[in-house]
Amino acid sequence: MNTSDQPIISVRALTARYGERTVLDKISFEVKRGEIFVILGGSGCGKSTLMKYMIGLYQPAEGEVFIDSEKFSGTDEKTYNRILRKIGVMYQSGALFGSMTIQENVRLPMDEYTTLTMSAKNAAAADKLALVGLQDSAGKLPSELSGGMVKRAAIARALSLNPAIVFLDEPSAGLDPITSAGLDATIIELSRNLGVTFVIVTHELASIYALADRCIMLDAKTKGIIASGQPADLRDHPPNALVKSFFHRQPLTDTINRTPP
Amino acid sequence: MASTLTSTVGEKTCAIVRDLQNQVVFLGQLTVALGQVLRRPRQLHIKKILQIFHTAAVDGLPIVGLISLLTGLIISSQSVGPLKTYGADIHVIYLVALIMFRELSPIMTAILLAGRTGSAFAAEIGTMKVNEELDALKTMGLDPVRFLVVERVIAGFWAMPFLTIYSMLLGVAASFAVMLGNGYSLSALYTELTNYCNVTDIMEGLLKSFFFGVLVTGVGCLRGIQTKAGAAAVGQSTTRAVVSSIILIIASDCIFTFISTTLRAKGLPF
Repeated sequence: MNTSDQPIISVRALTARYGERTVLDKISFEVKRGEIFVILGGSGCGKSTLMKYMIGLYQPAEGEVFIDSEKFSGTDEKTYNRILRKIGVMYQSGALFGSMTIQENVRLPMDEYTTLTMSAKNAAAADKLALVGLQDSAGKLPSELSGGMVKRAAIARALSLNPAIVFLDEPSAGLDPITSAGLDATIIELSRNLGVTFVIVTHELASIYALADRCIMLDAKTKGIIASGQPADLRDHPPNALVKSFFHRQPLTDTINRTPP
Repeated sequence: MASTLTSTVGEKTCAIVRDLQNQVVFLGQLTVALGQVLRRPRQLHIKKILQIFHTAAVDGLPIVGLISLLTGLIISSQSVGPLKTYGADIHVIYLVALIMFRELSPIMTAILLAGRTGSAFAAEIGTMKVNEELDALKTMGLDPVRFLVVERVIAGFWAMPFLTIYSMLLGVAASFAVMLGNGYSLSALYTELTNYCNVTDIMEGLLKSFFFGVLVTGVGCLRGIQTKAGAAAVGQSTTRAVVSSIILIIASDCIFTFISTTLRAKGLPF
């Protein structure tokens, strides 16, 4: 059923609304198993919202989300919880629990879902922390870590139950270029070594070029996907003015004319 | 103008009904979560409950003590004069004890708990919501109510009677001090107290205090979970937690008092 050529995520005609306001309109795309897939676009275009629909926090007004060929949106609670175990999420702020040490944060999903002994769980948490280079910070509280370390710890927690897919929301937001590059390198290493599929929401060009196997670009005006492909292709052959402005870091002079240059 | 007023009243009414619905849903979720914890008590973090109890109850002793002492002093010193006119000033002890046991100790303590602890829970959980920690729990398949609310409510359930007994003791002690100052002996005051007050008066206050403990901590947590985006939303949540708690405390106390008065009129306990 889960052959490698089948998409691991399939979003079909997804429409997202906040009350009466449509944020995303009939979006469809697929994510291949093992790839690093980037959702990009300007601020307020619905990138993080799309991710929240993909991870099941919100139910779409219309359309469906499939994870590993199983319907994730609007499914029964048992299936929903089973599919949740296949995904890990790193939120923009890290969303680590401030009253717990880094090790306890990483161990938390194991405490809930495994029958491992405490020493086995601690060893597994230490392994996850070593994967992101935080093996020496296990006993620290989140408040004692730098911004980059918090993101790494959040990735370690996302990997806690060995998920097939990891979602990262703005991983390089608020980080200096060196820390950001280091985090990108970690993500690539995890992808190659663990075979995990990464879905990353970002608008940082440097990270997009470094990480993305494929990407889609969202637009706030059309509320849909305006470009998809490899970042270098989109940069060199932008299909419209907005994509060109984004990849070439140019101001969009004519916001009405979005025809290809 | 009239249509604006009508629509405003309609919107406000709908908002109140929605809020009541949310409170009922939350109560259901809390009951389910408590049931799960009762089935699997090992899920409870006793250390965390003790920590919350310490912050809510032990750290709250000074303010509860101060307010109760002052209340006992004020009621006693203000009522001793008028009652002396009728030669009934010895009954001040009875008056203060009855008020403190049945009404004031549980209500004052609950309001103080709402201000200190309920608001703190709302701010803490609200900040977690803003920081996406609640979303993180959901995507880990963990129920935020079980993970964040149950332990706080259990701590509140025990903190309230603890503080209420302390408040009763200090309120009555203050009244004793005033009456001793007015020339009455300790044994006379003790006899007056035991002649007129009985254990059911204390039990009535304690029963309320258990209920108020769950109410105040539950409302604080609910308002935290309902926090919207932004730092200002956390402030709004803490305000809503305190205001909702006070309204619910007063409303439920009226119901308690009505029930106990009716029972007493029929010659039943209370």
